[in-house]
Amino acid sequence: MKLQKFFKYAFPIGVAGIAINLLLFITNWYYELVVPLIEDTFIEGALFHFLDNLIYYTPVIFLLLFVAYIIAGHIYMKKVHITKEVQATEKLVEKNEKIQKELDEKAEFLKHKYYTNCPNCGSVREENANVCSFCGASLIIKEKKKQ
Amino acid sequence: MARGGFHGGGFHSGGHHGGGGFRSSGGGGFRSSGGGFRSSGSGFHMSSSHSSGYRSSSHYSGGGYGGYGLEDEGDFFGIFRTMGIISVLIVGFFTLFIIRSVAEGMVPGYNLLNLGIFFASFVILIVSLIKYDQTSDLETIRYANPERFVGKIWNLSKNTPATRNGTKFCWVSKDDKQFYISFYDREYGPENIKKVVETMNRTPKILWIRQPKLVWALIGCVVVNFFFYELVIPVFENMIMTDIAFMIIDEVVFYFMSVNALLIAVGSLIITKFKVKILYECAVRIVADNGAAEKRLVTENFINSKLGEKWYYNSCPNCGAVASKALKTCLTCGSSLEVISYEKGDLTSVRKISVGAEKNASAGKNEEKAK
Repeated sequence: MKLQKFFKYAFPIGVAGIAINLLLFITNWYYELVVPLIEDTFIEGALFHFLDNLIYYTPVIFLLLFVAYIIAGHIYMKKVHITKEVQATEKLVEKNEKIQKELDEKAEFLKHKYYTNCPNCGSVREENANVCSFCGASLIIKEKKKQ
Repeated sequence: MARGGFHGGGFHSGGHHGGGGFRSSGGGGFRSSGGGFRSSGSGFHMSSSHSSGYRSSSHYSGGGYGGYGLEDEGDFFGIFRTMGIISVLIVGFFTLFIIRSVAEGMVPGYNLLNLGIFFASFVILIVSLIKYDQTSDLETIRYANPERFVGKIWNLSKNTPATRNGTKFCWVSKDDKQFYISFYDREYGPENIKKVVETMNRTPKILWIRQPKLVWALIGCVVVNFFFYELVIPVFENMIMTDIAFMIIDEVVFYFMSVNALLIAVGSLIITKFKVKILYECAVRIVADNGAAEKRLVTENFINSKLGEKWYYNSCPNCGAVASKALKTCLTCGSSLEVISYEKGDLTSVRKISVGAEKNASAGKNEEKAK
């Protein structure tokens, strides 16, 4: 999301840019202002022709750039918003799953009764252990089914 | 090209702009302040076909339908019916009058095209506002942000979804974008408000503007359009530019307000569409979160019920002697083995006394006493 600041106001800036450049191109103000600078030099021939065209079409080039800026901004910001929403959902799901997992573990522990000593080898049960740390036998006391 | 091209010769120095050309070709019309090219005769304003057309149809307002409805059956509703017909006739008359006036160029800043654009804008805006009341409570929760608010937002089409997730207070359809989020739910209402406000803060602010205010913006455009052209075009008239350039600017200025109005209306339509989409996603999230909370509540209740039973230490907290089976007091020092606070005890170092074990223990004690 590095470019978020750059594209945040793409639409209003882009529209303003398009309007200004359109005005500059239609009224020829930019051309009238800049072309005397190269007219007074010794540039002639193909280079002059190229520069003359370049100056004349500069507002159009900028106009197209502003159009591209708006489109790119729209695509980028849409992506940003989708990413933000997905992240918010994922964060919420993750948080819920984490809490639920802790509760489930607690509930699972409370569901059973445990031997304090291993029924197989007789060693003392370690803290939070479901199985014997020495022989690996289950420490859960299985309840007899009622007949 | 430079010395003789765009700059030096051509339109600029002595073309149509300075003296004649479009702009001085004279005539009537409102757009001819200084002789606008718009008023050059065959446009909307002065078109003889137009004026004759509307004139010929003006007999509608004259009295063709004048007495209709009065000779009704005379019942109570007949009066309303008559009034309704008269109202329709009056509105129709004014509509035709306005259209004819615009067509004849008697209304400043308007021609039939931009009048049509304004009309289309109003229609589009109204279409975008049809379902506005369904999400109008968003304004209250955003600007007032109450903790407990009796409101709701929803998007419901004619057919209620057959399959939906969630509760009756908050649900989403599986197939289309239908949803219902209540803020009056006793359990999850405040949470729902919080989540919706979070979504609103996360998404572009323009989506949450008060859309009915756009109607005023549109009315503003209509009013400003009366004098916008006459105010703005003189600025460009005094500038040096080609006639084609002036023609484009002339068109842009003339249709600026109507296009503006159209953009507002279309924008409102897009806002409505995006708003529904975002709120649907928000509703999906809320339903999932509330479902998780329900599940969590069930587990918590189970844990609490288990923890509600008394627990006893496996080793005496006083002397450290091992205490097994159904003992409630230490056999060595006689202190109580009961866990007072669950938080202090480790789950593996404590035990419960089952009903069977307690019975056996009490039976054993009785036997000892008997002996």
